[in-house]
Amino acid sequence: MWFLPFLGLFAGAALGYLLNIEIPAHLVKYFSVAFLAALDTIFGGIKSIQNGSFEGILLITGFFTNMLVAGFFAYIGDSIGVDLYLAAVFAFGVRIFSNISQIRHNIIAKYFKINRDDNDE
Amino acid sequence: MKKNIVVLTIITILSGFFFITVYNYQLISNMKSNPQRNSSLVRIIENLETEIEAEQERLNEMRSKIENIEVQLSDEQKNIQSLKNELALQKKEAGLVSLQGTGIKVILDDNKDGLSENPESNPNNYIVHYESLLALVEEIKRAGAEAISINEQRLITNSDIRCVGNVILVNTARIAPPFEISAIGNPLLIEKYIINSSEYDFLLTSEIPISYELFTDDKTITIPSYKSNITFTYTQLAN
Repeated sequence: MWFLPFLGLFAGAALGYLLNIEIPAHLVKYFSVAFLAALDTIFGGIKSIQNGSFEGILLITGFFTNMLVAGFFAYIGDSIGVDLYLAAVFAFGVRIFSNISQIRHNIIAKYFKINRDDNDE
Repeated sequence: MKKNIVVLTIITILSGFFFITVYNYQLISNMKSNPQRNSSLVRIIENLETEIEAEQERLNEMRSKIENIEVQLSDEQKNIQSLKNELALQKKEAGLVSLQGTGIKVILDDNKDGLSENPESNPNNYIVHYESLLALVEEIKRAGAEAISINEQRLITNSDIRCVGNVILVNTARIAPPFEISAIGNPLLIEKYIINSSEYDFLLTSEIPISYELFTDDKTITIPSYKSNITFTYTQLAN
């Protein structure tokens, strides 16, 4: 079952490729931010699965909330002439890196039986 | 666990979808930006090509114009050439060009020796009179001479040979002995005419020194052109 998310990734890519939606230029930002939000949610989800604190509803709502807020930021940023969506990009980027780091720690701890401090990078 | 995976799968599907969509967009926009530049270049090239075509058309027009002009020019040049030829002929006939050909030169001088030997006699018996020149010219003309001059004075249609006091005028130019009558024509014929003329006999009997030189095939005599002006005051071309 673990391969299902990977399959989903490819299925989504295939869907996007087949639908070949031509998005208007001013919506590209939203899509890229949405992509980052999805990536963030994926790594967050993996981490919470490893931690055993996974809640599907939390993840889904978090995903959509993050996406909406990021989209809102992008919109506001466009309106006032500041690239505010970069804040969302930055936040997602930082979270993705920290999540990956924790996932790595978890995996290493699992396979090498290393005692792990929770807040250690 | 199963539920977790499903949720994650949903998210990954969305993620993949978003990624590909944005990726496609970037791809397309990248492709678009180049074709735009290309299309502008293509437009420039097309404009230039149309310009070149227009210029070439203009060039062709010019060339055909030049060709026409050249044809006209050559026609005109032909006309001019024929007119020139005609003019040259007319000039030749009018005596306005110097000519050369076979002919004869008759030289006669005053009988100075005779005059100095007989200072008491009438000097008129020892000098060449204009009548003699006139008579000789007449003989030469009758012999079919084509051009005649006396002392470099070309005889044309309205030339005169007359005497004013003790000088002889030809074409209103004063000439002095020795007189040289040059003529282009058949030398032998002219010679015959002169020898057979009564004037020649008269001159010989008057002991006026007269001699002549024949210009046959290899030798040619040159007759100068008429130098004075020809004015037509009362004359008009008759239609």
